[in-house]
Amino acid sequence: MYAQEVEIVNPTGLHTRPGNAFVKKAKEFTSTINVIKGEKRANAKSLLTLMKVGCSMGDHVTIEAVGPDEVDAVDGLVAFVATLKD
Amino acid sequence: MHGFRGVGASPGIAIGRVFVHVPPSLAVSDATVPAALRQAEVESFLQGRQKALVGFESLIDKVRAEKGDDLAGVFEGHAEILMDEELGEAIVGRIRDDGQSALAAVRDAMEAQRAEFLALDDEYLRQRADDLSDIGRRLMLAIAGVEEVRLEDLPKGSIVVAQDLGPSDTARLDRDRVAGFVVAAGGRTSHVAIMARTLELPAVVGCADIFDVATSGQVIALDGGDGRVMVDPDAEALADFECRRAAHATAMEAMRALSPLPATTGDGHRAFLGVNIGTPADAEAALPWNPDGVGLYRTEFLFMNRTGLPSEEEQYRAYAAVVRAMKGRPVVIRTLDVGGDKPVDGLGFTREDNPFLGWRGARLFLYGSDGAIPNRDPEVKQQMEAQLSAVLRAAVDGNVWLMYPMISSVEEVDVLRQQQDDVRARLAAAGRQVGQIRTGIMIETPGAALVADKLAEKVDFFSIGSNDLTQYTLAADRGNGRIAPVYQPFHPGVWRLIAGVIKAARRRAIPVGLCGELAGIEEAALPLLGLGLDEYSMAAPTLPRIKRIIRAATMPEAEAIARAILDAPTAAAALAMAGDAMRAVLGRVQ
Repeated sequence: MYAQEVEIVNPTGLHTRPGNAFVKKAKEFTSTINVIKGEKRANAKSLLTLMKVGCSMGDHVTIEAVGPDEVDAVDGLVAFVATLKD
Repeated sequence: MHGFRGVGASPGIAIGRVFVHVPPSLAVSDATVPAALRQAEVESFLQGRQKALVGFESLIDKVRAEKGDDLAGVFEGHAEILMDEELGEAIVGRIRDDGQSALAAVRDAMEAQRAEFLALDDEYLRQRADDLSDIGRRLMLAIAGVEEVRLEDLPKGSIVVAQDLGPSDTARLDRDRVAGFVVAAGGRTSHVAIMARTLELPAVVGCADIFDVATSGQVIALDGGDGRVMVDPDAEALADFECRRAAHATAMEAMRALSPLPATTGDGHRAFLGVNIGTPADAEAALPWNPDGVGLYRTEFLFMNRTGLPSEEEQYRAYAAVVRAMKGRPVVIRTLDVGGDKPVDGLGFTREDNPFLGWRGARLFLYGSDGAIPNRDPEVKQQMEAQLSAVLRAAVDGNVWLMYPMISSVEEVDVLRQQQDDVRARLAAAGRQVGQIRTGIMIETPGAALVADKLAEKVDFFSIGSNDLTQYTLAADRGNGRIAPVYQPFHPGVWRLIAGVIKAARRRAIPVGLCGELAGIEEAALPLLGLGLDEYSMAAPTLPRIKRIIRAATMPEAEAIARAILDAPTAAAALAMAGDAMRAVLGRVQ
């Protein structure tokens, strides 16, 4: 298992379009990936569960992956979150 | 000829021909599927989902071509939800393990998701809940193999009559072919109502009986302002609607022409017209109306779309964005105004018998769970300091007025000002840059209104919160339909309190505004002006209507109607007098 924390920096958070893009990115990896905020966990490949966690600007979330490409997945998604602008 | 009355959801007059949009009905069986047939139901779900996806993809292409990437992105999100793996597993589980049919499984799985979204108590996610219904309906139609009704090629000038319309329906409508909407379901905040206002198309919602009469092809006229609908109107009624349609178009044009002009009376008295906003995006959207500032920035939205509390940094970014957008015009930022009826996560709300008379507004900062004044509970204290710090820092970029809601007494103001001074001193000691601000309070409790002269010595401005002031003065819950007649914005008792507040503010020469719904009610514009109100704050689209009245009036006229209202025996009499005075003034300029 590999995990990293990242701050959500875009104004709309992981909702709507940025959330959709995030899920698409997560699906590029074969590992099981979770987004964790406080007590809440979401499957990074499910927009529905991700929306319910409610990742908004300024939140610190942990991205955690288990699987053959876990390091690439986490690093890739952390970098992706940092580039979100909307 | 048949007349109906619904809820006016998007102003304007439309005359056209009925286009009845009936979504195909679906028969869903709740019988348990035998184990041997369940795999076939799973297949039917998977194939239906694939078909629905193809439908979404063509919708996305169409929307992208006609309406741009933003709206197309919304439906890309819908397609993603349609194919969501957790949702898919839940549906398959219901079929395999519970023996539900594919249709019943989709219906119940979607409903479960919807309920979860609705329970999140967040405006944004509530709207997503309606999207889920829309996605579920399309999926069910695809599974059942029922053809969608084509909305793309309805005849020009159609008035769409429907039980309800979802996002995927309105997105497929060709704007040039639709003249308006009449919807049997829904309220002013339903999807179709919001969509109609965005497209500036007249709409009436909540018109429950419309299907008793309306059939496609009939002539229909509607008034999206007062909610009147006429099916198959006679010549006289039709002429009346046509006349009002022309008048509405002229009025809209005049209003657009008004936006660059100040709200100055014929005899040179200047009033200030501000806007009520909740987000930096609202501030941007208000700019075309040319407001004199933001009269009420509700900071609650920052706290609602989330679990936990927004950081100081996050709050600073939002406040600074609004302050910069207003370019030096005043921005009244209200501190977090929530209560037990709509608690915010992470502040230690507990159940109260009377949340509207309980721990809410500035009382959060004031009263601790241990009886301490001010509140020393760590979460609240930290939030208070974060919010005040963010406001003081944002003030560097413009003209910030900080406002505390739900004040009952002078002591409360003393405590809040002391806390604010402490935060400012701490920021300064840490070498942070802070700006100058004005500090004011909302007057929304009768007690505060009655000691406004004393409160005026303690603050830089007042803003009258007329909604709560009315509710508390008349002891009437605004949301309780049964006693709706008790809640009277024109009750002379409410107006006497308002008059006293304005008088007290003027005596100390501090500005006084009003940011409740009353500020946007046309009949109230003249009497408020006559009482000496300095600033009105309202939803941006209402600005020109109030400005038009102020510009048509003179102060002696406004003062006369103000005196008459304070002496009116009833709210009905006060409203009637105010309406007459307004029409007299407007009649002169038209």
